[in-house]
Amino acid sequence: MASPAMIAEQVDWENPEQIGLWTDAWTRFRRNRLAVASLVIVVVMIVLAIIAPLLQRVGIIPDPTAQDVVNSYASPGSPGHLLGTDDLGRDVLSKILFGAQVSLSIGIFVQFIVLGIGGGIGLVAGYYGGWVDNALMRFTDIMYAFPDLLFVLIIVAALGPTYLNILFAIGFVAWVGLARLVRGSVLSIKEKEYVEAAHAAGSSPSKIILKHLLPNSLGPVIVTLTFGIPAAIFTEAVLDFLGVGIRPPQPTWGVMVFDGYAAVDSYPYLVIVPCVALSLTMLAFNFIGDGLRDALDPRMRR
Amino acid sequence: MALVTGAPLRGALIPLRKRSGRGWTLGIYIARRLFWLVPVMLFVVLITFFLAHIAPGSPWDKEGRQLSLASVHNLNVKYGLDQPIWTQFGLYLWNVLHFDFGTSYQHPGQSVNQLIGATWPATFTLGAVSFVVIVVVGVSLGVVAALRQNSFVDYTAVALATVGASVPNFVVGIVLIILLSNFLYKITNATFFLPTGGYPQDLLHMIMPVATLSFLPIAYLARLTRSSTLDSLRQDFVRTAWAKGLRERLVVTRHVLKNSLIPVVTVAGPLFAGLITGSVIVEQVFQVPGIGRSYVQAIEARDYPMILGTTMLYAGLVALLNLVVDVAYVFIDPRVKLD
Amino acid sequence: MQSEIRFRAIALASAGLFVVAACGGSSGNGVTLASAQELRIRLTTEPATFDPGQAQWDYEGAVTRQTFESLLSPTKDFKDVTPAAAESYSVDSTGLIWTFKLRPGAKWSDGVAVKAADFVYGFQRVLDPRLAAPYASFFYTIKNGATVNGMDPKDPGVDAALQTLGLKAVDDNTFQVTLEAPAGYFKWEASLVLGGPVRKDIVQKFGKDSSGNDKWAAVAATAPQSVVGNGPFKISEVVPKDHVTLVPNPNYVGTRSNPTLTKITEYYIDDETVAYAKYKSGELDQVPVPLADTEAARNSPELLKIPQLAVFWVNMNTKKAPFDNPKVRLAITQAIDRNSYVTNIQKGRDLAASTLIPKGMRNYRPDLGTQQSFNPATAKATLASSGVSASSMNGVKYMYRSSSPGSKTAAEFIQAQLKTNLGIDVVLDGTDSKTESARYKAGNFQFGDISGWGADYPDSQDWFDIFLTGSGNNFSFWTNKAYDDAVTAADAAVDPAKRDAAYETAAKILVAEAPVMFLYQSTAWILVKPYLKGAIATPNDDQWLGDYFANTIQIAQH
Repeated sequence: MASPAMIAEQVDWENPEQIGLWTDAWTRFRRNRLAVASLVIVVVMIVLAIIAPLLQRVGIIPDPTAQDVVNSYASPGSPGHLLGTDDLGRDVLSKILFGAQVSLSIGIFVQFIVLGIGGGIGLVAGYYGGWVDNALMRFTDIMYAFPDLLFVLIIVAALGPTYLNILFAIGFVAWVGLARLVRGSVLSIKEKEYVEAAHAAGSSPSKIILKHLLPNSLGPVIVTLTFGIPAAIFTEAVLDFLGVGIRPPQPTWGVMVFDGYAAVDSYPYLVIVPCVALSLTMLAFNFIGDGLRDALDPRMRR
Repeated sequence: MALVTGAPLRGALIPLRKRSGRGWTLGIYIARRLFWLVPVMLFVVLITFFLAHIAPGSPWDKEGRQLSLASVHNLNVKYGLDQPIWTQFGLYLWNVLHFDFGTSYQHPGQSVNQLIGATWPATFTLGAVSFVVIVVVGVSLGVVAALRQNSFVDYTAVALATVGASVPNFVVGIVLIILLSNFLYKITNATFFLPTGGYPQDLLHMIMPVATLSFLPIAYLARLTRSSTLDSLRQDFVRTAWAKGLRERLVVTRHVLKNSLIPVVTVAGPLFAGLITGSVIVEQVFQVPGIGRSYVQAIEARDYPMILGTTMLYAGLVALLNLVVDVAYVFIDPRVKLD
Repeated sequence: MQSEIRFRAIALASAGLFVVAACGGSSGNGVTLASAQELRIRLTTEPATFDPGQAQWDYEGAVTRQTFESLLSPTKDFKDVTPAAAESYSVDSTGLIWTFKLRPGAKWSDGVAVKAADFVYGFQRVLDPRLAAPYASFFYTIKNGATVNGMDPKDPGVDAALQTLGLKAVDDNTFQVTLEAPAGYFKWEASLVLGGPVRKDIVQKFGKDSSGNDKWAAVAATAPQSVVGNGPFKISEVVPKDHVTLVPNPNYVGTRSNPTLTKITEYYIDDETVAYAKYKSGELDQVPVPLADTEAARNSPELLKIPQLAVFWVNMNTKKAPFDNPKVRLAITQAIDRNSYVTNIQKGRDLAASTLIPKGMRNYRPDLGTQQSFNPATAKATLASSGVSASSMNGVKYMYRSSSPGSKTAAEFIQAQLKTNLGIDVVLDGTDSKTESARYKAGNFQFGDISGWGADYPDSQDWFDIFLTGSGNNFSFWTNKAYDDAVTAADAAVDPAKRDAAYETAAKILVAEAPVMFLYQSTAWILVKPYLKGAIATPNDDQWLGDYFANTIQIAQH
């Protein structure tokens, strides 16, 4: 009997054994054309971001920091500048490609922090229960209630807007959702018979966690992390828009929007191009996340 | 305390709490949550206080002509900033207990309560209107898409919804500004399409910021509603009732709709909290004189009383809304058990 | 935030000479007046207070200049001062005692007569350490001013100390100030908004809030009742976060009487793009042109270009290597193409500057700045002669404000210029505004940001004092005895020729030692609706055109 509501991202696991789960999921994912297309786009973007310095060395794109003040605000399609130039004459296309490095990498690396902190807290809280659980969940409540913006703005102000500081700051406010998810998942799995059996058989806590709890929570965790990527990209762009983004001359998409916004009336392309880049990336990751969720959800197995 | 959604009742491993006993358990649950609210808020204040003070720069630092050392000292004495940090914290807490949140450094002569009271309506109105729009449009879209599943309407709705869920809201705002303001204004000469502030004098000026704020959540809500409607439509008894005829259909429609609303409750809490706490970017782009914008300004200006007051407002609101949603869930979804 | 608030705050707080009568003749001449004489202008930020004694920013002056009147005010050409609230003034032979005779019949907005005691109280308040007025230092010229202001606010002897200040109400109509030392420029200080009179009974009537702030001057909806001033306008409405409205004060007696305007509404709009949009849609009558919209406005008949007495430069920390070496500093000044900056980045709106004093002021001497002229070859040579190699300077950090687009663009420009012209790899060090101010104070930076100075009044003393040893505005921590001596002598001198000579000496040292790199002097570009007539522009307008002489503004029929 199919159950009505889909509540949050919790996926209901009936069968803890995962033989063939991943292969099965991959097959289902492949059938979702939108997700596959998005995956291709993301891979292409990542590749472009990685080889951007190479492209520059070979001469296909100019140096994103090369100023040509006489040619500032050139329109898209001007000779040598496919997407035009900004207020200091720097090539927009080049800035987009180099900016992809920051946006994509922050989006992805933040998830490591989220997984580490959120996953860790969720696992420990869920498994041990009792006062450990209580304390950790109260801490999570505090972080949840705390306005993220304040924390991030002040950390960046105090420590400086470097890549690592921003990465840390975003990661530090982003793990709450995952912690709750993992804890809930652990709690529900904990009571299953096979876990009791393993415990009765004498497996150590860490073994139980690693062998049973972790793999079973993995599905929704992956989905959450995938959706977390565009969220992190967005947060970094917001920081840029508020003026506390990554220091120049490293271009980032959010900073391009911020810089271009002052000229949105006269030179809208300066804002439109990074906005499209941001949207496309976030869109692609969202479709991938959707695809993963559908692929990993056993209720969809028909 | 987190809400744990139990597995469907196979083998009745988890006994459902009896309806008659639920009121009492619920009461205890609410009381416990409220009780925990106090230390949580205390920690939030503590962290905020020290966070604000470790930010480099004092409220009196400025560009241009500098204040003399005497003036800076006098200002610090006036606002108690020359005292040791723990004394300051203690004094602040004491005042908070009397509902005195201090005066803003940026606006001497005006208390934080006054200032928040002045900016609160703008954000709240914007949030409330957006919330209504989101729920109405989002749910309708989701239900319609589910009813006409796999039709063109469905695919379009899903596509739009996913797009909407991916685009950052300030991107929407900026795109709206570029496209609509230049374009629509030229056609209609209606100034409320321009990001001209003058907000919130009338409903017309709210169109742009509300649209910007709503785009993303509508998309998200529409998808959730669609899924849940689809799920309930697939249930056997629904299909049977549908086949049977009109009267049964009515009964069932109500059931389907009621289930469609469950995701609304899921997102309502965090959504409302998010809207109320004011999207800073939207407020900035559309010059809305709301709390989000004044919050960022306060942080930039190191206006400690404003920072603290606004943070406490946010935190309290979010925590309370969290509780409300968790409790509402108990009534909506009988499978849920409180932990 | 993302607009040029802070730049504008500096740029527009300046004094100048150029007077432009905006499109149209003076009062009444052939101008058909509109039925509604209402002016709508934009302020960048909501004022923090309506108290003249605590005014800190030009957007506060924008209101206070209308609601209060100081003893003196600048003349229309900004070359001198003219009596305002005082009908006449005289200085005794020692140069220490200034006597002001108040204008007879002058009244407050509530009808009470203006008395000398009100001025005594106003000045005392500014120097009272308990009030913590930000710019009390302007009145350190007054006898005991610095001492009293430096007292501990909790000291019970403050009240008594206030009486020892060189302030006296000889009678109801005569106000006398005794200075610490002769200072010819005190006449300018007496024209500042800071020196407005204040009513003691009003202050006491409205009391204080829990932080000790006087409630009478709070920017709140009660302001129309509580702000009692002696200026040509009074506050009629305050909508927090939105605007403040001024209407003529019928009880005003003075040089700015009989304004044609019946209402001035000052809207707070911090985003210049939004303000510009409002101007285009007809909701504002005048607006500054954002940099990005320069091309669109360049040929507009509504455009007014008003040179400002505001100069911008790049700070270099003379206490930190490699900028402790004067030749290094000089090399830097020679390696940056100011003309390119002004032409390409500022779109030709501003004027390149190599000296401190701006064009339009008495001691403007561009010829003294040739040492800092742009010349890459000379720059390389100077650097070579300094003993510091370009490669050893790689990694030097340029501090700037990441939230200010102008500061950022300038930083990137300078980074590229130094790379191209001297081969130095500069690292950009972005911070927020407060952190930057704190780092300036602590000397925790190597070089950067673009700092500006807008004249408080058009006297060279206001400018040269910036670089005196120990001055709080001397971010470079520069110290040079010859400079200090020349400036102190010039400040105290009365004979204009003597002052000119001394300031010239000082200017030469400033250019040669290069504690800062002068970059440009700003020009305000303002769009004004054609129906706005009679406005007298000064380069010191506090955020809006016609601010000093609002009584001449007229709205033609349109």
